Amino acid sequence: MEKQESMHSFSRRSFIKGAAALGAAGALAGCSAQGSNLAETGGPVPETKIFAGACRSQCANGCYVNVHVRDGQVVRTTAGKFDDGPEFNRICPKGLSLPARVYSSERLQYPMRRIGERGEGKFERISWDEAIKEITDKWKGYIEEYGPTSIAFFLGSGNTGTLGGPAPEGSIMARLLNVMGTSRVLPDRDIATPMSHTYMFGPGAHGHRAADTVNGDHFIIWAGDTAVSEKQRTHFFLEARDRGADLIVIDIAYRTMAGKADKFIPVHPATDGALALGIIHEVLEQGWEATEFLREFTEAPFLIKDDGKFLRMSDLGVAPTTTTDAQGKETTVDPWVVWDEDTQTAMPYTEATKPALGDVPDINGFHVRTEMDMIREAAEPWTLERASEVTGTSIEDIKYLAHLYTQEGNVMTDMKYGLNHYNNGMYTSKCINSLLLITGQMCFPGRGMYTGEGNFGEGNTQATISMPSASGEKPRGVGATLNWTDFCNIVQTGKKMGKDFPIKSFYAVCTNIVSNQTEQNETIKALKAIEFIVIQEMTMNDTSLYADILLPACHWFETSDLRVRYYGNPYLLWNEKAVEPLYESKPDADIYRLIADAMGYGDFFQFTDDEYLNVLLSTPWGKAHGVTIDKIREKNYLRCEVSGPVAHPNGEFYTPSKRASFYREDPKPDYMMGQELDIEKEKFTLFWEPAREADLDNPIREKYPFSVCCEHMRTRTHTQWYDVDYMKEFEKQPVCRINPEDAAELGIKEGDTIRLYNDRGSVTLLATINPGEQRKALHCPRSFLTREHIDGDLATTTFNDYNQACRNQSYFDCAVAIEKL
Amino acid sequence: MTRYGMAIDLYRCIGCQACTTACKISNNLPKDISYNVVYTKTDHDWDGSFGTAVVKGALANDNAGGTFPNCILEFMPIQCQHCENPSCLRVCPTGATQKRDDGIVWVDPELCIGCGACIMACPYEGVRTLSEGDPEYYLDVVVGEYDAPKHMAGIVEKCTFCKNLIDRGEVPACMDLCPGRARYWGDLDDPNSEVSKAIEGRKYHKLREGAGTAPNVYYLLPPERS
Repeated sequence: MEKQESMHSFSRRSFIKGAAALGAAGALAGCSAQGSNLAETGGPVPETKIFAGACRSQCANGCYVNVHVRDGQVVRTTAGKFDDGPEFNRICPKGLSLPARVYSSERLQYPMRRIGERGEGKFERISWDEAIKEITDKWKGYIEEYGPTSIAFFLGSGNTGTLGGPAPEGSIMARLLNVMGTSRVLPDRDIATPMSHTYMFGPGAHGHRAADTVNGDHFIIWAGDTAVSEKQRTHFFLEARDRGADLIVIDIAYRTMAGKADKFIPVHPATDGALALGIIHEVLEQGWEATEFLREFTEAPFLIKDDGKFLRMSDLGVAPTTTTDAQGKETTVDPWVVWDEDTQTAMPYTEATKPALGDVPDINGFHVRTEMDMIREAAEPWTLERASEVTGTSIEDIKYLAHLYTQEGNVMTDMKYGLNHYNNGMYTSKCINSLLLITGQMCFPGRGMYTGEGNFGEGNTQATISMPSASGEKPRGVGATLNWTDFCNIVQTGKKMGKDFPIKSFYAVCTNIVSNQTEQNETIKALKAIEFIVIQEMTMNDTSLYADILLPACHWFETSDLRVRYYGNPYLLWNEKAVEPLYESKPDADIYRLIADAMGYGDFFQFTDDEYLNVLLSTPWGKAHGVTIDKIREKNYLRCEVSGPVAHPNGEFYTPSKRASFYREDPKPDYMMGQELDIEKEKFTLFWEPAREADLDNPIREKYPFSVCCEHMRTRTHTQWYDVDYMKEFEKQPVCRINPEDAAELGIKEGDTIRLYNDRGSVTLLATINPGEQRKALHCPRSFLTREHIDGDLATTTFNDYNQACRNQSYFDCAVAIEKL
Repeated sequence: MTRYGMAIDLYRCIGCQACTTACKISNNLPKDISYNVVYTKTDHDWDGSFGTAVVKGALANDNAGGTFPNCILEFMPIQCQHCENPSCLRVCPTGATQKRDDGIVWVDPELCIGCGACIMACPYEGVRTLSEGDPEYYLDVVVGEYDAPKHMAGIVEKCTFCKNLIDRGEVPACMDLCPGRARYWGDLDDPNSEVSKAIEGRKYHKLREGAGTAPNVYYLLPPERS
């Protein structure tokens, strides 16, 4: 313990010290020394000014904060108050400790050039002019020799500011990418569950909003510890329960929300899809399915031929027609056919009064099944016994859930990213979505996915990216889109899908990919294979260590910006500049502009920040409601009611058929890097297979008996706040939470040093005995930097390849063995 | 007459540590001092052990008790209970420990000699800290309110109920803003105060009342379910 602490403090100070030795002023500019507390001096009461701040680290809570400034320093942060939505007033320990991020000893103070090995952390101070010239000279050379796609911009998410953020949507960095025509690298995180919603329900909002909380009789939190990962939503659940609703938690471990629940239902890791299938089996067995909901709002009555294609009117000899869609594109209309029970005839689904869910005779010589027939067939093997055996959930609990979902009123189901982080996340999510449709627990007050706040969305990003230069020139557009794992291969082989694809340079902004992408050793191998890396950051995190040129970005409160996109609250937030940038750091947006100018693209950036933001705000909804940056600045926040309290109200889905879909006749993978593909798995939403390594029956578990859930931390958003010592009073060092019986078998006691390892990597950390863990399943808080571990890094143990059709990082799907040291 | 008190809804506390962080920053607390600790608790014996906390030497917060899946996981925020009948007051040899008319119990740093008698007398262990050396801080910058308590070697420190904030019409730092909406504060003698309304009709527990201290912090127990 002692040793680890001192090692850490040595390494974190050493960057500053080392840099200072090279001629930098190491001390914090303008800081008073501690100890001379103002109260002691007895002088006049100093003035404290409050500025509007937006906490924007992508934790999905998006807090509006008051930034208290005294003598030009941020001294405190408190919760901002909305006068039209007190339920969204929020702040957390991270938001409350933001002064410590502003004055962190890990802050990058000036541009630097690498002088040691990659990852070693040896840099020399250079000037901004030198840094920008070196970057743009190199980039111009690469463009000339290899084309703009040889430069890759990573689309990170560490700052959801619109001007400065590296976000994929509409930031000035995104515009620079499009102007230069570089490659963009997708992080491929959090894809499976949201994509499952899009496949089945169409695009748009899928969650009921907090305003609908009053209508839920039962709230099921399925695979997520809201109190830790989205703590600001927790009070809605607790208030619902105070009002008499039941709270049910389905999880692999007994965590905070389980402690608040009326009922805790344990499940083996990543078997939740099988649990949903078991519930569906029981619902169908009892005849409890929501027949009218399925008939009216879903494609359950649609007919599938033996060749796997839908029966359409063209199969009945009615020629397709053409029409133009909303985008002006010509499309073919060949309506789906259903069997109408009232008339005992086949007809377009839009004309039938009572579409049959089963028992459909051959039509025009075609043998057909309804999607509902397929649901019954898929659920058939999932008897209570089998579901219980696979999931570890008791038969009693499965029956309880079947009854709850169908016989006890309105059920709100909360499902965030807990199931997304496994290789089978797409299948699990689709099975649970299917359960909601089969039981009719969607589309109506109190029945739906929760929550879901109305938000402005991503703004008119198309306009910000594609608007022409001052001289009328059009941006080139994205040069190439590369999936993260593919990118790792491309940089090492120089080839994409067998064709030459040189990558010479990599640019990442406010995103610690070394720590936050899976399979860290592959990430590092890829970075080492890249000729020239530019990292723009606030701090010396693990990714900064791999930079050739390091650019110091200022703290959020040292510049102004607009937080547009989403998050669990329906507000646009304006962040006022509260203090001057420390040292030589600059606002991210200014750095993008410096690069653009030096690249010769200055003409594309001849706009003020306000002009740019007003373009972004010019969505159809924004225009209709007069949303401008000035209007937002009237209160520094603006509530946007872009959707009602109920998602998919009254069965409104946004799929081509306007019904919820269980079946896709021609599914496509969402990425292509030459992977083998069994497309049959992707067609029907009740397909389920076990996770890759979290599955207890996988033979790999003989060698690596434990699965690790690399869980979120209360005190960090990804790795942000790693440099805030206040937070270490709650989460001090990497630990591994282990079941007491597992620990006893391995002779492990509280505080023992253990090593988790597999073929990919290893991590040495301290064991903590947690009776809340089930057997053979560990929880390790993820978000520590490599240098905070005793040895290795938790991020080396996970794998970085994807499900066959879904580009998704699987943070929880990881098996390891344990060695006691 | 004003009599300040606090109510903490144990069902609503989610162990998020917002109140502890707010306290730490607002009072510019040194590394080793916590006025307010949220313990992880694995039983329902509210007069028993407060539980465990990393800041009090535990390896990790948030571990459950019991046997999976029949577990217990509670959180117990503990600070000075601002007792009606404070045992610390009686034992202080210098008059440093004082009780204001509004019920706030505080230690005057000018008078405190760091004898530790109050620490011994208080039935709520861990709510006070005797600073042995000069205070060390996480930051080189002074944070928090301009009139935050003094921190220096050889004195006992504890929760002041943020009297500096209260006296200018603001609320204690831990009150603003609890994510679980677990904390209530105000005048116990005013039936319309937030704290009085929060307590009304609720089952509550006051810590270790057997000690005769008559604490002014009410721990609201989870509402009964039908």
